[in-house]
Amino acid sequence: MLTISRRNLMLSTAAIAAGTALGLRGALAQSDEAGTLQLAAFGGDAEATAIGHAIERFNTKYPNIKVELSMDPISSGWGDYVTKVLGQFNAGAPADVYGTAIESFQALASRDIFIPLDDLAKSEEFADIAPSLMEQGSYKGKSTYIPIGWNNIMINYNRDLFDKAGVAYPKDGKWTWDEFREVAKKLTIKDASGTVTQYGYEVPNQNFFIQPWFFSNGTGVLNADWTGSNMLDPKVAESLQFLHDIIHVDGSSPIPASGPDLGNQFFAGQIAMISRGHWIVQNAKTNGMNMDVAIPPSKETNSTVIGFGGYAVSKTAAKPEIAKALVAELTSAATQIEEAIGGGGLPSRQSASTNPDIMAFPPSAALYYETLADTKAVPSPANFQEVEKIVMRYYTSMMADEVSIADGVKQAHDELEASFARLKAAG
Amino acid sequence: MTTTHPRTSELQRAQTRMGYLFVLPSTLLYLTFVLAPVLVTVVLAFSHFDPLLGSRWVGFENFTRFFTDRRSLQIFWNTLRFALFAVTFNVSVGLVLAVALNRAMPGWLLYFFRLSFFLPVIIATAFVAVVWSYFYGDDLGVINYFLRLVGLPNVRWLTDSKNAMTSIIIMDVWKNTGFFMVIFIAALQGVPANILEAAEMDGTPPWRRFLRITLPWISPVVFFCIVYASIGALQVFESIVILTQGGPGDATRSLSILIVEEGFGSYEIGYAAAISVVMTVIILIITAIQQLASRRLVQQ
Amino acid sequence: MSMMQTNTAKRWVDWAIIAVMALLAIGMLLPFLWLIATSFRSVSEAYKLPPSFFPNNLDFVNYAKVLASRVPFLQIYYNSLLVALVVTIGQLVTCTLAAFAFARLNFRGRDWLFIAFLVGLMFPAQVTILPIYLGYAKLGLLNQPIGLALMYLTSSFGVFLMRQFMLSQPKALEEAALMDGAGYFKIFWRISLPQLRPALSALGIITFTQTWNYYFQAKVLLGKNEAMTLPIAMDVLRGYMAAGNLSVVMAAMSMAVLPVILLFLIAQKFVIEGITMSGIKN
Repeated sequence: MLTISRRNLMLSTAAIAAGTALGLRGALAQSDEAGTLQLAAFGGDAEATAIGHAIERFNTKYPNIKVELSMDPISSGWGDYVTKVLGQFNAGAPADVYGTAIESFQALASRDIFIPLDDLAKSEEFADIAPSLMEQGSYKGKSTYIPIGWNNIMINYNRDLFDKAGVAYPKDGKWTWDEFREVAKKLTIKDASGTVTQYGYEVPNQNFFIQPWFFSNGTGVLNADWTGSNMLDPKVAESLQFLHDIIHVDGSSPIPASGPDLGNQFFAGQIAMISRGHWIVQNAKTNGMNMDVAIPPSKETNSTVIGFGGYAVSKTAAKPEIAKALVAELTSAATQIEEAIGGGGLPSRQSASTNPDIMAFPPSAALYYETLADTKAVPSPANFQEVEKIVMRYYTSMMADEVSIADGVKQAHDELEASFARLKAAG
Repeated sequence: MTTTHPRTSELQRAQTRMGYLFVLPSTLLYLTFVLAPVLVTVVLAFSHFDPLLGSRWVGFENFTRFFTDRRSLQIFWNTLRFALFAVTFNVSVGLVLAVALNRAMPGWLLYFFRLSFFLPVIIATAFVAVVWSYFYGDDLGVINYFLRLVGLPNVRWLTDSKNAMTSIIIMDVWKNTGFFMVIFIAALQGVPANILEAAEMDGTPPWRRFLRITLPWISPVVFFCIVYASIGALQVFESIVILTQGGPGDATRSLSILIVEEGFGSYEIGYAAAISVVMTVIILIITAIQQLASRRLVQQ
Repeated sequence: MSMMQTNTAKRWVDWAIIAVMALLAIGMLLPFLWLIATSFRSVSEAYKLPPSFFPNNLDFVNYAKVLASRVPFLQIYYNSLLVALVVTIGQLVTCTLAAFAFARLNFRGRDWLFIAFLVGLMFPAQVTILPIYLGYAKLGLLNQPIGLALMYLTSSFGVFLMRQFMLSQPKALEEAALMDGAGYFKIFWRISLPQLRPALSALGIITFTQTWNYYFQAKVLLGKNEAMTLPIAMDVLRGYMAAGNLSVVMAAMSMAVLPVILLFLIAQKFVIEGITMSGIKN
């Protein structure tokens, strides 16, 4: 597990220096390999910029290898991306290197389309990458994905609105469910007609963002090894009831609609707290927002959810060694730091995690790494997409008071079990 | 007209020759890019398609799954309900706008009005989602803000399953009615001015001129718009996905959303193909009914 | 006297229609204004209530950011223009030819062929893209903007639309030309098409707009950064989890709608000239 201390910080600064030296040495020894590499990566402009620079660095070592990049912003979910990648393999036109995220790890790896990267994973160059992430990037005991940026869901809060309401910031970024609920109430402002002009919290409308509310209650929508539904656990209903009451009893959150989320209303100062990952930090800076982060409120545990990306090499790659060299550059500290600052996830390299630019904002940025030991991956079985759709369909119904929580969890359980039965039949 | 006449048969041969020649480019492109993929998809509907894990034939299993899923009926009903209202309003509002803008007024005003009504067609749906989810917000929404200004209560536009479909239809008409307006404006140009002027001289009131002269004249185009709007509405996907993704629950989910969720989201290509076939048959039936009804109403 | 009365009444109706249209137009424009205004301001300003539909100042910083972005915006702009122009011109040719045959010529299998065209319209395009993708991969047409254009060189929509327009036109002129011994192509070119100028302008603007906005198909067929079209580029600008800077995306959108607006105004010129001329004649 990844932990940060002052001593570690010194060590990792030394590691960056050493790494840079290594990179320079590599640059002097240019390879005369020629050809093209197809790189399929995900993300937006921030990632495209960092990846573009990584390719430039790669090309100083391999000047005759042309890297052709395609970016996918995953605007319609991971299922579409899986379909696209599988379509490329079915059509006989796959890329050589794929970037993807944990949500699709199993769905892709189970089709046996990537080569094991154990030699990379065990090499010294990658010793720096958080072991827990490396472990979750393996499939059936073989390292398949080399981890890049990760995001854990935190409570992001507008400090100005706390100050205005005279509410203290959560001490050390920690609070309980009940404390959080009281804070959300105090931060909710209604006008004379009872219309809310400022909400305390946005009860999330996305699968990834709601997970901490289950994890912190010592439960989850799926069982621990992601092979079946856990919706009938009374603690699941308890978590749902808690969110439901924040909306319908306290009135301190809008009803989560299943369409676009309310992130922009947070930046506009209309919502005081939202559950998001590190990727919103850049936007908070752009909007000049006085934002900080806190750990998701605890009930039984302090556990939050983590999602992260990784690179894999296609088994169809003509030059796997060169593809691996590209993966090394894409997962380097320099690339990851640039992505993190540009608005992406946090670096998987422990050395990069102490970068002063990353730690400067938000004020409690250290919490991202402090909670890493307590994170669980977003439940990502091979039928992730179906699981997500089923859970969210019932979740939005329950939050909108269209179906009772008791009925909702039961029906969701039945559909989840049917989906897992189909998965077993297909596999 | 007698078929024995040599000139007629000569003419008929020329028509056949030219007919085939004229449809050739479209037909070739159509066979390649539409019909062939459709046939492949129909075949896929009887399979479990996943070459990397192993594909297999499953007979009618995909169809059985659709017809026995208790969600199917609601989704089917949502689709019909959306289509009925979206077609009615898109076509009729488009026609009214076209008629209102097919008259002498200062040129810049004509350009301005027509552009205003067509602009929503131009905007990519991703941005429609951004602005309309802000408009349709509950307490923080723009429309509710204006409703409160005039003393009306808030409406839960997207978060109440009773309203969500209506909200989508309103947005859809905003987005698409300009499309039909442009077609109707073009159609109205074809109505001969002299006939209308003659009727005006006779003292025929405007609405009767419209019903007796204009509407029959453009009826093939009206028929086109109704059929095309129906096909589009029965396939509705974007208008719903961007606002509610089919929620809350299943309240606004359409057949096309189900197809895409299964085909692209869950990688159940065979199942998605089967729903596509069912949907196409339904659209075919509705179009055939419209075609029969039009025989009496459309002047050709 | 009655003449004067009807004239005043008519003028009153004209003004009433203009007033109603103006109100409607403002309502239709509000969402669009908000989007454009947001390209000149930050998100935190954009979402305030009461809503504001105009920017406080014209700050082009977000436009500069689009052009400075890693997404090759100008190349992508060119791709979009190429695809939309090729498709629009292609459809104007193929659809009118086929429509003329369906509306005016008698040949065996005509009605069945037309029905086949209609059925194509009914099948969801999201599904048929998969076989096309497989075919394109074999032919090396993936990541080629022209490949996207190729599959839209004709459309059931265009054929159907133009056929209906031709059906609403009287045949008298064409029959007279036929009697004078003119060939069918000459009739099509010299008589039918000129009559259909408004319809051609409608088909042109609609085809251009639709092609300009193709998202799903473009995303499947054109993955590579240099091969993308505008809707995909704006998707990338919006970023992972749509968490990019919305103002920058709005700047990109404003630049993206410009050619379509210009084309619409040019296309309407054909139609509007007709009206204002008949207006003058009165």
